[in-house]
Amino acid sequence: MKFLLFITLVVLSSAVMADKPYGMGGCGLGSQLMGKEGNQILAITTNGTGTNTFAISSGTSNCVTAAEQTALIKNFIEANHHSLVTDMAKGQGDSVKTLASFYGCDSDLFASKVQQNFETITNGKESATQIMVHINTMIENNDSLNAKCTHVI
Amino acid sequence: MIRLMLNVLTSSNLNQKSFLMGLLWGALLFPSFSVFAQDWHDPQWLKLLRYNKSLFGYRSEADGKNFFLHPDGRTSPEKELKAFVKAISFGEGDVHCRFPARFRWIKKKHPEIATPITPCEKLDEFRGRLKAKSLFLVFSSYYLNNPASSFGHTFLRLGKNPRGQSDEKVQTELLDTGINYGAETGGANPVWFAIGGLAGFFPGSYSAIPYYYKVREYNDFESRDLWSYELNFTEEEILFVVDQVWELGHTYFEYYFLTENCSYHVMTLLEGARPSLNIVKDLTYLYVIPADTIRILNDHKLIETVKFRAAPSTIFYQQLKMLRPSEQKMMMSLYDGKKELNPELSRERRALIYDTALSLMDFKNAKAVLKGDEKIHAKKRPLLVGRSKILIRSPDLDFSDKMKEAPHKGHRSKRVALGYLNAKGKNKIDFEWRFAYHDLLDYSPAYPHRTKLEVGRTSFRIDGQNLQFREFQLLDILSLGKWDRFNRASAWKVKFGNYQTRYKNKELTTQGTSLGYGLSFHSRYFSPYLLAHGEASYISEELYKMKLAYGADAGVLMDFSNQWKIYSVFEIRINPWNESQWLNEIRYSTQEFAFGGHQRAFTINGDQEYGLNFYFYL
Repeated sequence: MKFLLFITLVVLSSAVMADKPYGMGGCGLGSQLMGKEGNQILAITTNGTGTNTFAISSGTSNCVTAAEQTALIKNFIEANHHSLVTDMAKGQGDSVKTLASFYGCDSDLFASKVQQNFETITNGKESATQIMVHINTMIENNDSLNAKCTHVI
Repeated sequence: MIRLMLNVLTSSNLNQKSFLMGLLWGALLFPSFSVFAQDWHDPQWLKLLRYNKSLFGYRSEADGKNFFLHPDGRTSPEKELKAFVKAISFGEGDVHCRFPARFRWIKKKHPEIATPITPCEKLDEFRGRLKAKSLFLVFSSYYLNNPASSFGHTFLRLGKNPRGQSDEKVQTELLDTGINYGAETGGANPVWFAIGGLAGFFPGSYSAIPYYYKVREYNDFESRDLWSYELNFTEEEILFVVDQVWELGHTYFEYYFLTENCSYHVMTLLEGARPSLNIVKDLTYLYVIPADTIRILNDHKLIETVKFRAAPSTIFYQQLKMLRPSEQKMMMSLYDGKKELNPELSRERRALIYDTALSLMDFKNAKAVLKGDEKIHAKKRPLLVGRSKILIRSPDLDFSDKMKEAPHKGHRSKRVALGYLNAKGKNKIDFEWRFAYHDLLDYSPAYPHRTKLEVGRTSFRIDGQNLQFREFQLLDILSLGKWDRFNRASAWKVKFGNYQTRYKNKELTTQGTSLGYGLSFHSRYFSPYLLAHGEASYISEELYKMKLAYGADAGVLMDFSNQWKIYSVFEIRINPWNESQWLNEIRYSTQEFAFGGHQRAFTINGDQEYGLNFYFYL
């Protein structure tokens, strides 16, 4: 399990770009497009981030490979990093719930466990990968979580 | 022709013999090519390809050439349909993959048409990843203290949960997909952006990205509340939306900031999916205001439910209300990193104080937090760690009050007014037209409070036998930002246009700009403010001179309810040509109309005028 995670992380760290599409707000601002005639939708699904961000399964699909699943989670953590960390400290909130759904965990149990392990999972300078690794370890070391999370990578 | 018949009959599991049999049958039974061609009148064909009819015939709004198969496709829905039918009839090619919405349409009309054999891997992957089962229109409201954002922004959200079941225990809203229409401005500077946006120089197109990016962008980064309106679209109609988004990904449109903007292209997408809808025609030709499109959807009974997602600023002020004054002080010293919380407080109260401090951190430093600014994160860290040690869950915040403020509950943004005026014993009648949007005394739900944003206010007066033109205000903004301990927003105003001034007891027309800057304090009912004022204008009557003026405005807005409001302002002008005046106004307003009265007094000779005013929102 851990070996697989390690492999996928090595592969992904080179492939996945950090992406913060924050533009100005309002009508027509802050969109990132490709060429005039290129298929915008296709472009988003085929570039580095797109593949991951789009392939979102809410954790219920069994047909995604572990590598894809890892990429999804990592991308989600990257894009939602700060609200996720805040939610973890509070032991509630929809970014934590969503993260729990990736692992197929019971969201209430997951939320309270990440709160209890907050200082292990985060250190104020943690990367998305580190959050993932720590959460994986947390699930593996916790019997009640391990039993209840159906999609542990 | 024959190729078409072949295709109509061919499906991959036919062997050659039955294939030939089918060919025979087909010649007898199936509609001919010319029958298909008649279908170009079908409203859905016209709407999927964004055709508009004018005196000069049909023309599609799509500007990309790849959107059409026939060279004349942009202006001829008939030729385009023929070309499309011909293309799919070859049974090969990927036309059905490139234009899945058109293919879905023709398959709906003529189920006997066989699907071409080329598989659409990328399209299937796209559909599979979206897993769209429900459809929402999302309205992103204004930013705090920025009236320029008042018009809002709309985009679609394709939900993974089945229609009407968005409140599942495992909330997947963040993993839904946001469908946005926006302009590619290529980092244009604001001036070029304004000109290009008005003139349609920028290409606009659709994009599909995970909804969590939209939440982070609007909710967190810009502190704008998000409203999700679930639409009563069937699964098939939703599939049409998905396929259209894919199909429109091939093309682009000229982006017009006022008319063919984000909201307009959301409406056309909805009409393409449900052609019996005629909502685009309800939009004005001059401009499309996002909030107005929500009221149109509501009028057409498309909306099933409304859901509110609060921005950090909204969350903060909600939590703040729940804190006692002593706890507010503790929260501030905690926020500033000065003092830990008193451990004798209950866990619940400590959790709430921490939560409030965290919301304040996220809202005051939104951009720094999201960009990973080290100083801010060092300041936030102790709050996070402190909160994580209180192992309880805070109760959900109650935003039911916000529902009364939902965007569809506001007044319409155009307004006409009729006024009766008495000045020095003379009776006068005023007419006024306002293109948009809201003033301090208008009905408040759904609009930024304590804000005036008026565009294109034009007025005429009948004075005895004369009809005189009085004002054309291109822009008139007054924003009373909230100055408090937590957020030091300023109050300011900008006025630009053609308006009235007084010189030696005479009213004169002037063209100019007026600016003001100052402070405003908010309490529940009273919001006083003070602005320093500067003005540069050209007086085009009698004097023919450029003039500068300065002074101050002292005013108070009394906001008793959504309906009842009183406004009083004393405008002091220190210069020889614009006189100080005192204006008092009272108004009762509803979602449809308003009425009220005003009194104006000029200080130099004590001239007074009294008026009664009636307003209708259109």
